[in-house]
Amino acid sequence: MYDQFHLPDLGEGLAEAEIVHWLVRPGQTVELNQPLVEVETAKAAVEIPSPFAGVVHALHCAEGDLVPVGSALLTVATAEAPAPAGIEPDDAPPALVVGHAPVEPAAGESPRRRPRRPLHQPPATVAAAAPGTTADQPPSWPVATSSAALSDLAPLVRARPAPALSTAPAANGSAAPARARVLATPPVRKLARDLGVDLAAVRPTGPAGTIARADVTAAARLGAPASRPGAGEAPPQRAGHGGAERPLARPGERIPVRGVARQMALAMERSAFTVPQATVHRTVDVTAMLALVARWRAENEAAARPGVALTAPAVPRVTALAFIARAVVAALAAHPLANARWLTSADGSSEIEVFATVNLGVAVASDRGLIVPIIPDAGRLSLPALAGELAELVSQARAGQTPPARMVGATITVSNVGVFGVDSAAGLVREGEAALVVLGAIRETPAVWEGQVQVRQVMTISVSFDHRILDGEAASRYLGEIAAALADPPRLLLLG
Amino acid sequence: MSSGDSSDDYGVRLLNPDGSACEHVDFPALLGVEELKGCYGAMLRTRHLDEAATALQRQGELALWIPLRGQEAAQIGSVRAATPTDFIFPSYREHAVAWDRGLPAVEVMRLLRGITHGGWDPAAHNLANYALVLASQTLHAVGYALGLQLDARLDPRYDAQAGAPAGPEPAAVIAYLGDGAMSQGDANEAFVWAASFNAPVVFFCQNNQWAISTPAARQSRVPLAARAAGFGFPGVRVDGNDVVAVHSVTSSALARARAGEGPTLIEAYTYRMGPHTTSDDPTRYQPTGEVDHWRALDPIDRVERALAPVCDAAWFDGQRAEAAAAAARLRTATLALPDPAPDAFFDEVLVTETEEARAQRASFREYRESFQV
Repeated sequence: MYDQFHLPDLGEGLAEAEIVHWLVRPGQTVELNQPLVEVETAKAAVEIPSPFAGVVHALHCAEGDLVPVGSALLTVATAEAPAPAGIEPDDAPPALVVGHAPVEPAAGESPRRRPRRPLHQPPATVAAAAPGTTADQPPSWPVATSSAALSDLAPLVRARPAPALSTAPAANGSAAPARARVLATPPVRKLARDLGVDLAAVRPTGPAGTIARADVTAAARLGAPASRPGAGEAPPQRAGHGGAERPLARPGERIPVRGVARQMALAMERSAFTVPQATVHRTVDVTAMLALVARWRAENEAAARPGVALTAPAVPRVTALAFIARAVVAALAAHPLANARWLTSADGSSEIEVFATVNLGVAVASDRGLIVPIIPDAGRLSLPALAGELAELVSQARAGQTPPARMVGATITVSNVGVFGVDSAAGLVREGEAALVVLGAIRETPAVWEGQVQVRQVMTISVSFDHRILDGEAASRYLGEIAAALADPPRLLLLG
Repeated sequence: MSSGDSSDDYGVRLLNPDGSACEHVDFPALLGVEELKGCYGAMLRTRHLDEAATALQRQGELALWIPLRGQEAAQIGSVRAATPTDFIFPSYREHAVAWDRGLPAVEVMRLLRGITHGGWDPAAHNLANYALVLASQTLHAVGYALGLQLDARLDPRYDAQAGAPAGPEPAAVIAYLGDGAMSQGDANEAFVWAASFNAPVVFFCQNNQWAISTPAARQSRVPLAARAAGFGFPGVRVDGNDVVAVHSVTSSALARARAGEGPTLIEAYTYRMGPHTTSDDPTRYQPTGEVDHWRALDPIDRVERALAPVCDAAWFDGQRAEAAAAAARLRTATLALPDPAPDAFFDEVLVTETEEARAQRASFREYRESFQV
């Protein structure tokens, strides 16, 4: 038997708590009142003791998440009533990975593991949007352009915890704020909710314009518009978009912003309103770089084929993104101010701190929202090593398994918005960093090549910079160094 | 806090922290070994119940819990000095007092689970309901004590000359309050009134050093017990973590009250080893090392050391098992508490329900039933 434990109100009217530290892991046996998790509310940091004895089946939120009261914290397989023999794994409650919002099964629907939907377009679609790229690990970053901003809203919607029917029935019943106020007594509101009738669409016949019980039952018979779907119902999905199914925000909906999404929103707010920043763009012909990467990949695949004699040493797998990341990092050697931060002391004086190492942040859209895991000390990594770290970073982020230590401490960040089909973007520099490098889509474009117009692979790279640390000239020089290495790959050897 | 009181004087002490006995010229130890064993069991049970209740709150089963860890000796020592006819006015942390008066442990849970507005019948154990409004109970206590005085005058055995009842075991009153409540107007009015009318009341102040986050030293430049002199009655500081001394000092104060000698203020110098309530985070304000200092003065450990020469390990194990079992029973009983009927709040309002109240109850029921589809 599985028992789920929901976050209680720990202090007389608190709405939420932050998960500070899990003290148990899935698979671990816990005793009654054994401390499970350390949480911090607006009032206190406390340990929550287990209300059950049993084996931890799944944790439903991650450290750092800000979770509303009533959210599922964890599921415990309790010893008191063992699961019936022959139980199929799929009959267990959804074993949500750390970081997922709780999903309550609809009434009558047997709890079942929901297939995890890919957040991103599969590589095939990406390739179609950006021919020639191997951007198989597409990171992203919120940008000021409207199209990209729309793309980035979707992860926020996904990160929203589904309201539990049992604990927050009022959430569904409250009328959308944009509509005229509906007058109805609580019993009538409950009836409407039970019958799935949207009160805003019901014609009131009661005294003083109130909706009467009979109005609701009549509307139900006539098939009035259903109220917003409950938590257990499948959210509306956007179809035909490369398989990326994201719930759409409904008109008039108010979307709670929590957890990773909230952290991101606050960080963006601080960046936009405390950091004076500007952006420089540079369009660069990356045909040669893509050709080199394609050749390495072919050699890599050839070497991996069984039965092929080793005529040459195996080539490590290197992607275009890794090549660009290497150029971004290596170019910092000659432009250390792009790897720095602005510090203001309490007395109002200011300093620029040049970081001793390069911790490369890579913006990744995960199921939990946009996160920026880092590759520590990326400056000392060779190109293949950097490629390996990048691949691991993205797969960890997608699985929601980024170690907490890898979630903070970026000194410069790269974001690839090209996967969304945009050509360039003026991104927001992250607080505590000097520069953000944004990669646009790589497109086949008519370009002048050795005095002739040819079809070339071209992309635009943008550097947003903290204008207190770098000026336009310094940022342009840094960007120029990166662009030069991408246009002429051997120049990468001259960097660093 | 140079001007405040942060004395190292723990007050009257009869049991040293190492478990050895000491003597006091005014306050003899009144507890024998058997009684001390009884106190130990009650204190240990209190701690287990307190821990179980704290866990229940963290699990969402109680709206709030008010831990008393560290104050077991102050409560058990004082309540065991009272007789069943004495009347007790607790504040809101006196769980050990309530339980020792015979109130079933789960009754306190009902209040903090939010399924009753008051809790228990005060007459059943001569124990008033908890007072959440700081120091309000001190006024109630003085009023009750004045009532006892008036009742005594109606008693044929009343000795008008002595101004005291002449019968056996006249009743007295204990009002519990905390160091924070000592700053309240109500408490000071109660002191004035009790002194003016020589009320048979003992003000038992548990100075646990913290009024939520305000240190006691900020609230008083003198030891709290010294304030009694200004009101004209005796004040005694006692080591609140010494159950023997607390019992002796409280017995003495109750004897004064019974003899018509008026009120006494007892300051039980102790320490709140947990948060103010489960909504509080003491690590935000307690200086480092303070908890460790007081942990070495733990009231239960002290009695355990005193009893070690006369009780074997099996006896201690039995006590621990009994306390743990009581905690498990409390958990089960709390989880089984039924929610009250929606109209239950009409039940305890009027002794004889009026026609108007009956109509309101019926109207409320009708409204509630209109929720049924």
